[in-house]
Amino acid sequence: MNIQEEENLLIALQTDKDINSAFTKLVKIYKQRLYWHIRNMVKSHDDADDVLQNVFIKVYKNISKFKGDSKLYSWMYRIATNESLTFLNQKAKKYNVTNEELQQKLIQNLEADVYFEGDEIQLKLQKAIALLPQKQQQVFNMKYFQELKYREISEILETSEGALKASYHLASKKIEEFLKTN
Amino acid sequence: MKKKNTHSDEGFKVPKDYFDNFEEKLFEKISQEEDNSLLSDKLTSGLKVPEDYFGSFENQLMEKLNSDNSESSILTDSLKTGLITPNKYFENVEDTILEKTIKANQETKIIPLFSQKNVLFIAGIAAMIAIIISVSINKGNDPFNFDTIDVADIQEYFDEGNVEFSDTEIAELLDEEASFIDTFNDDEISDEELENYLSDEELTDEIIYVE
Repeated sequence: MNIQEEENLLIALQTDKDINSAFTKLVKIYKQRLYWHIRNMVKSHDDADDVLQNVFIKVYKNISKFKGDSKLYSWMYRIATNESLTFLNQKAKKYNVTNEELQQKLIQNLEADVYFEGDEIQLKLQKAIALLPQKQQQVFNMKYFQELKYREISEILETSEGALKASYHLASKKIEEFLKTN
Repeated sequence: MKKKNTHSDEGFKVPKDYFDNFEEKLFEKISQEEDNSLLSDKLTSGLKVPEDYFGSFENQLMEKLNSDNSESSILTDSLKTGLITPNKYFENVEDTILEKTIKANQETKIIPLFSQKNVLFIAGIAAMIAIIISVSINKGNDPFNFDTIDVADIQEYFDEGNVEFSDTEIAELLDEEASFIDTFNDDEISDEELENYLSDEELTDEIIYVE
């Protein structure tokens, strides 16, 4: 979607009579991208489904307040990121474990997940990602799996491109090391 | 961790749209040589493919790849991560989301029926009906009427200053029933009656003297 299309869609989303059709279009365009963004963070399909629905509900309720300071897609990605992190924090609290322990637990669950068809190397990759600090995980997921550009990630995470490149480089190094030694 | 290997970086180039047209040309050639090559394949391996398999496979694959970015993103995400979704998940989730947002919003628009204005209006009608019913029910056997009120109660009511009458108002009320002038009218008492009254009284000399 180019800038003009996004602007038109935003205008429609903030107009009472057009909001429903515009929102349907928005869901169609972004449902899969946001789903994978969330899924890479929460790992389980059911959890990703819950979070995705919450994200779109939040977008629908708050679209009138969106001032256009950032791009629509980065705003939505930001909501998805925050919702996923909140979800993970709540889950960690519920199980009375730290966030790092929760990451390990999620990967263990992945092995028995019917919605995981990965081979051994993919599972190892997931294990390696789970050991990364949260920020590096986010950057790696967005860059490697979702193939977002540094510029886009920078807008979503509100971090400079330089810092993102450093994060991605560090993350890649750590993962490579893990894969070699395990 | 290099993901893509675009050969143009290495100095090699291909004609424009080469890859787009490659498959088409290839399958055209295959169909032309169908009789020979396909027959020979069948003969050598004994394996068969469904009719028009390659044609439809090509279309399906290209459709999937060209549909839009999101379609290709699901493909790459699934391939790289090994994470998959239930069948037709993305079709269903769209309906679920729309149901929880647009449709839920449309339903909540009914709420104005219970707005403050309407509640007051309905409450007003309800209060009126309640009053009418209570009045009509008590009408037949109302134990309260003016006769049942104790005089003391009325007096207390006035004493507490609940009703304020000016002197003129009180005078007006009394005017018809009593005439203060009549009391002092000489005609009312005849000389004879006065004489009798005085003669009946046992008056002492002092009193008569004083008077």
